[in-house]
Amino acid sequence: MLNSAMPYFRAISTRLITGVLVFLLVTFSATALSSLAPGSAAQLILGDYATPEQIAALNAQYGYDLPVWQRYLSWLGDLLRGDLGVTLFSQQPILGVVLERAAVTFEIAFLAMAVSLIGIPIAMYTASHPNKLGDKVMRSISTVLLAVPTFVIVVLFSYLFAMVLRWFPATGWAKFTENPVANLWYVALPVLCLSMHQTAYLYRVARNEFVTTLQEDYIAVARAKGLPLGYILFHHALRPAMPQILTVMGLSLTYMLAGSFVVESYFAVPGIGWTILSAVKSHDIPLVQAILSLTVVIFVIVFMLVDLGYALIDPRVKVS
Amino acid sequence: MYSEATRPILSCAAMTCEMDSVSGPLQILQDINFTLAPRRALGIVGESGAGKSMLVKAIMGIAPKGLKTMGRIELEGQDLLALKPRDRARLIGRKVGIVFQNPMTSLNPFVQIGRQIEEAGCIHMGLSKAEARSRAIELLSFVGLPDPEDCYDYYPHQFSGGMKQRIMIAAALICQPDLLIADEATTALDVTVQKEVLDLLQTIQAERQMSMILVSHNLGVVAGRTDEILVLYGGNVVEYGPTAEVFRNPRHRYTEALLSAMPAMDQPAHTRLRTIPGQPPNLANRPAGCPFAPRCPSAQAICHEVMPPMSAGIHPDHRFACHFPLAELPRPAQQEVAHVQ
Ligand SMILES: Nc1ncnc2c1ncn2[C@@H]1O[C@H](COP(=O)(O)OP(=O)(O)OP(=O)(O)O)[C@@H](O)[C@H]1O
Ligand code: SF4
Ligand SMILES: [Mg+2]
Repeated sequence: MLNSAMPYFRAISTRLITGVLVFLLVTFSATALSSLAPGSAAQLILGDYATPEQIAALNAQYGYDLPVWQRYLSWLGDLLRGDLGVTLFSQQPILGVVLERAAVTFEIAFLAMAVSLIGIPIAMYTASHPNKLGDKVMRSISTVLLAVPTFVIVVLFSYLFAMVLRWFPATGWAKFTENPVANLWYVALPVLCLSMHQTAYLYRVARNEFVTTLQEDYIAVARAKGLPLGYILFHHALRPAMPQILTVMGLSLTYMLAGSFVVESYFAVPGIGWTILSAVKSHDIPLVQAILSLTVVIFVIVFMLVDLGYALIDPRVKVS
Repeated sequence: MYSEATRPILSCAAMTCEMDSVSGPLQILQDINFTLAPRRALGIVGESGAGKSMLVKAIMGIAPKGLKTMGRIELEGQDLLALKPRDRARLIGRKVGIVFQNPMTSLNPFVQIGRQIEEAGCIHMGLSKAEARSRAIELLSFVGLPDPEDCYDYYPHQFSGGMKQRIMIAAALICQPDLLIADEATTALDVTVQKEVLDLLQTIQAERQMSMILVSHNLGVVAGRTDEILVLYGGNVVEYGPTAEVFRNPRHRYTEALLSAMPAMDQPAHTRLRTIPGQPPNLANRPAGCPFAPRCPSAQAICHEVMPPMSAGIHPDHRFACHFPLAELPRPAQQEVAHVQ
């Protein structure tokens, strides 16, 4: 048992070490960036009309006059203690704010990913009936969806579903912990908009993957055995196509997290994309840095899970 | 017409397969006729591209899309072409086991071999999980895999080519089929392994009282292992008869050429028999007469113009399509020729 799990441990630890290095690099860059800005960081935050006393006070609190490496080390120390201080303007604990906003973005991203999974069965069906009507229709729809930028989808959908049909609210938010039903109602449109590209993309990749897999010799063998099409698709074609599908899902998730600000700012959803947008605008450097760090951590975890998924799916991959 | 005991397992009558191409319909197989009786073995031989695999696939109903099959194919009296595709697939899956050429790609690398062996049994015969498992393990040991209990959970990449082909054979046997088809089942294997697997097939056929079709480009493979032999050339049957008779007394000029060019066992698959000069026929541009005429040393004018009809030899089951067949040898003293073993 331990022996068979050993390669996984090794794989995870290699990826963890890489992840930590990437994390250090990105967060250090974030610290360094703030000192590259013209004038001092404190000047940048407080604006042109700040008095020397105000700047001195901010420097005393946040250490913006210290060399970059010193500031970075002290930030790391704060991080290890689990206390990143407070946001510059609303003076709320940064860690709490970031985690709360991240939860919102995650909810939307995961729901959008769940919605996009519908692309897989559609891909199975159309791949096993290639160039039939359904295949052609789905191919056209996915081409159109992929060509339309997210912000156009957002505008169109909110016009259609919120203004014309009035199924979902155009903006607003309710916390899941306070009112789950209202939360789902508010979240529906952002999720739908965010999932469109992912569904189309996942559908395309999965369809091509299934078409290739269905030409394999072992599929001919399965057909010669007289196995029903549905059985062949789910028991012989799905797993070989899974590594590609998993790659796309991993990319989609990171893409959705990175691109969440479009949807979040349009629908006024208090997620992480919306937060970083306003943090950058108001030069809230500590908040920006915290969000960047969290994003890196999430990306590393997602890619690690994808890698792990490969090993679980393909019996031949015994983890590099 | 036939009693249960003598009704053919498989018969093809006037079977023709066409495939559309840019230059019009291609006749990949033309007017194939043969019958295979219970417990008998049929060898199908011919050069690469002769249509051996197409014949097998057309019978199984797994030919590539666009292949039209005409004529009549009967499996135990059932007209296969009259069945709905789904019913046909089920019937074939239940009654016919097939082993393909390449064991490396014929097993799904993502599925445990035990599952791949038993699945057809679960679906066609409603075996329970436990029954299926014990039957799969039994078959694994029957085809000669060491530690069948452990092997059940292994994945294909954990086996060698010869072992994989044994696993394919086990999978082909799960529904206790009446007919086993091996399409170049050993061509991808090492010479020594080839012989082992061929011997295994022969043993299985005898022990399980099945019929068998052994497809090969190599006459040596079918020589001692089949009762009848069908020689394909360019999608036509050029000679068909009892194996011993055809070997002892070939009548068609192509069969003769094949026999004198009999390749060694270790020749790789799809190699052209270099000792027969010339190219196999171009299906898009068939000669009007005998398909072998452009390469035949004995061809006369009529060969290029008129398709030779099937004629019978002295042995009542021996047929060939040649205008100028080789001379019939005098029959040996005892009437029935013993099968070459
Ligand atoms: N998918 C296809 N589309 C069109 N023609 C095909 C296709 N597959 C095979 N053919 C043609 O059908 C003919 C018979 O091919 P087949 O595979 O049955 O030959 P074979 O006798 O099995 O040869 P081999 O010894 O190489 O396996 C060949 O002329 C080939 O070119
Ligand atoms: S019919 Fe003519 S060309 Fe054809 S094999 Fe016989 S002799 Fe040769
Ligand atoms: Mg072949």
